[in-house]
Amino acid sequence: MNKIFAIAKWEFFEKVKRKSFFVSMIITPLVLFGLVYLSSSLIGFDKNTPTTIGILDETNNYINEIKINLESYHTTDNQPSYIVLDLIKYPLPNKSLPSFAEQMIKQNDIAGLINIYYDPSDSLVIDYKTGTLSDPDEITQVEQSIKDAVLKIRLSEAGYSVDEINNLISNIHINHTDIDADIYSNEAEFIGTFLTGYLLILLLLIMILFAGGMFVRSTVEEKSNRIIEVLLSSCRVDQLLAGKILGLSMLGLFQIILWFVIGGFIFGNNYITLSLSNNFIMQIVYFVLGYILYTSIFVGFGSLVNSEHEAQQMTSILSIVLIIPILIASHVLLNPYSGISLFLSYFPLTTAPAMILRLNVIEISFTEQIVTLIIMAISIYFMIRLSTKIFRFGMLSFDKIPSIKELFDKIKTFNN
Amino acid sequence: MLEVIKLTKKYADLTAIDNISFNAVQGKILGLIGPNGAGKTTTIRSILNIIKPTSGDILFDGKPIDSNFYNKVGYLPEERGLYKKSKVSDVLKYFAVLKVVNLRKIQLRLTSLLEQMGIEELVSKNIEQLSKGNQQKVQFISSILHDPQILILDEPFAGLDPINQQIIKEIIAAFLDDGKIIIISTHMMEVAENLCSDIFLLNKGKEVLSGSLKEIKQKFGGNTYKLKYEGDCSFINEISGVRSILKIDNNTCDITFNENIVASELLTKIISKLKVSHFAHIEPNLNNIFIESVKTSNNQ
Repeated sequence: MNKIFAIAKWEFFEKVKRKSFFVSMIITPLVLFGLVYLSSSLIGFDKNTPTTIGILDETNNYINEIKINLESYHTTDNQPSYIVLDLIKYPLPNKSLPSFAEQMIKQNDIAGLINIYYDPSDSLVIDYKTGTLSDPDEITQVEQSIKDAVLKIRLSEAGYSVDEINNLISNIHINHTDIDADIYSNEAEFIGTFLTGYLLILLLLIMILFAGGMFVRSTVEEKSNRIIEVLLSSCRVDQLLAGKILGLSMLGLFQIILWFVIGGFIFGNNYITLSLSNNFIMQIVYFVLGYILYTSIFVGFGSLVNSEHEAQQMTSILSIVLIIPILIASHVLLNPYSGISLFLSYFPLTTAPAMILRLNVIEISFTEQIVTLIIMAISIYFMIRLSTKIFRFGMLSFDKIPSIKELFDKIKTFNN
Repeated sequence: MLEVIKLTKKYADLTAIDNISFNAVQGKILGLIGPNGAGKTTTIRSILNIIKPTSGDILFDGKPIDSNFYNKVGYLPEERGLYKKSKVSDVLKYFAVLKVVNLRKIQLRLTSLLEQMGIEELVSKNIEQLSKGNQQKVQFISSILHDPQILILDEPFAGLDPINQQIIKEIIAAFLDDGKIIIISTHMMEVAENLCSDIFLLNKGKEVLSGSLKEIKQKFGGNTYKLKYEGDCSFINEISGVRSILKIDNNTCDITFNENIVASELLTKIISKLKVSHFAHIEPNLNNIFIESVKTSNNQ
């Protein structure tokens, strides 16, 4: 164990002292927060810009109530959420107005169109048309505004006084509740929890890319000047492998702690409040297991490189594996019970990220957690065994990177 | 004693070393010599426990080598390399700790070795700031700092000036006096001839020659004599028992003859036809033995 700790200590301190470590300290958080901001913008969490809605009320009966209802919504910085345009006032023939309004949607002049008219059988028809992508919350708010307006007018037509109507509809609150999202009591908490899941996955990816990249570069140095032979004449190959993985893990942990400390100093209490899920401890368990699995892949295959050029090639190839968690994040968070999410939870390369994300939004049965933990443990065991064999061969191989078939043939003969 | 017994290492169709056996004993230097690709590195890596042999045994003091053996061996690889961005003291301490050495205990030894090598003032500098020669000295110190029982040196003098070569020879001599085992792998036959007591010559993974240097020289050069003369020496080839005659110039040649021929009898026959001014035994050098043995081995 002393040798493992000695190697881990060396890997940690020698890399922390390097300039590249401090450069990545600054660049990585910028990329990280950039990605989080981008993803939150894409899914419609940016509520600070008012949405323009056009109303074409051919009955001239509902527009005022709908307008009042829509203008009662406000953004997080207390600006009106909606601007309402009365399209009937446009100086155009009535028949041309619907096509003109649709043209406005296509040109992004308005985000949605509420068209109110009577059909030939004199039934009231209300169409709500939007552009290609719409925020689900926005649709709910517009629909609610229309329903409230229609209800109020119909009650008025039925002879109810204004006070009676207000009394009848004032205590109605329609809460849209996702059956999977019953843990969110408000939108802010949902955003916080969503970001926590996303951040954990991004941290996992960045830690592995950062530590893996450093490992691959140090491998090039150790192989090119044959330090590796001196190291392997001082300890077993599995001790060297374990020491390197431990050192890289310490480095990743140190980096995260530094980011949080620096973030705390810079932003104080103003930076994003992240809501921890009830399963945070289990998420950390999957995080650590995922880190070990991905790092062992990096360490094994990374040992085959002999030059900076090959190091870049290898890092690019291995990064493809690491993109999987990012690709699946949105789907798993929004559909934690789907067949794809379940498959990803049981597929070893995606078990860790899928479980981290699902644990963020739902309660997962004890049995499922045990099964996936066993899958992770078995995968790590076999991956480390394979990586040790590749590492033992790779660190003493100074040829070009072999193909997968060549690699396994060579490993077989090398270790026998 | 380090015993290598019937060691074989195969890689797919290639047999890197084939059933080789030799002993390295305390207080003596074993020269592991052979042409490029002979199997020297594979042999050293097997001894260092870096690679697993296909068959055969390596024993140290009668016991198979295990993970404790790592702490008893010091190794200087042929291609020198250190962590260039790291400090001399940090690198030396790291390699010592990997040999499970208590840093406090070796501090005096470290200072002494640095002084002996004349690089004590460079200890806080980064490796990349040192000259190539000084980097080699640091690497040599790293291989002996933990006071190993077995020292394996691959081309220890390559790239060193005569003064530094002498310093390292003195340290090696001190190691021998302490009863340590030393194995030197080299292409420099002069080095092997001057330092090694025993020789193991490999070619294409197989043993070609082994034994004490003295015995090997006797075996190869027992019957070669230098002759200085006046006249025509061509008749010497026809004398029974003469293996070869190598003309150096018009009046000098080297004669090699079979072991059953007595030198004085041959001289009598030569004197009867030539005027001889010089007839003396030639001791063969290791370089010639190496070339002759490898050529013979390649032809087999």
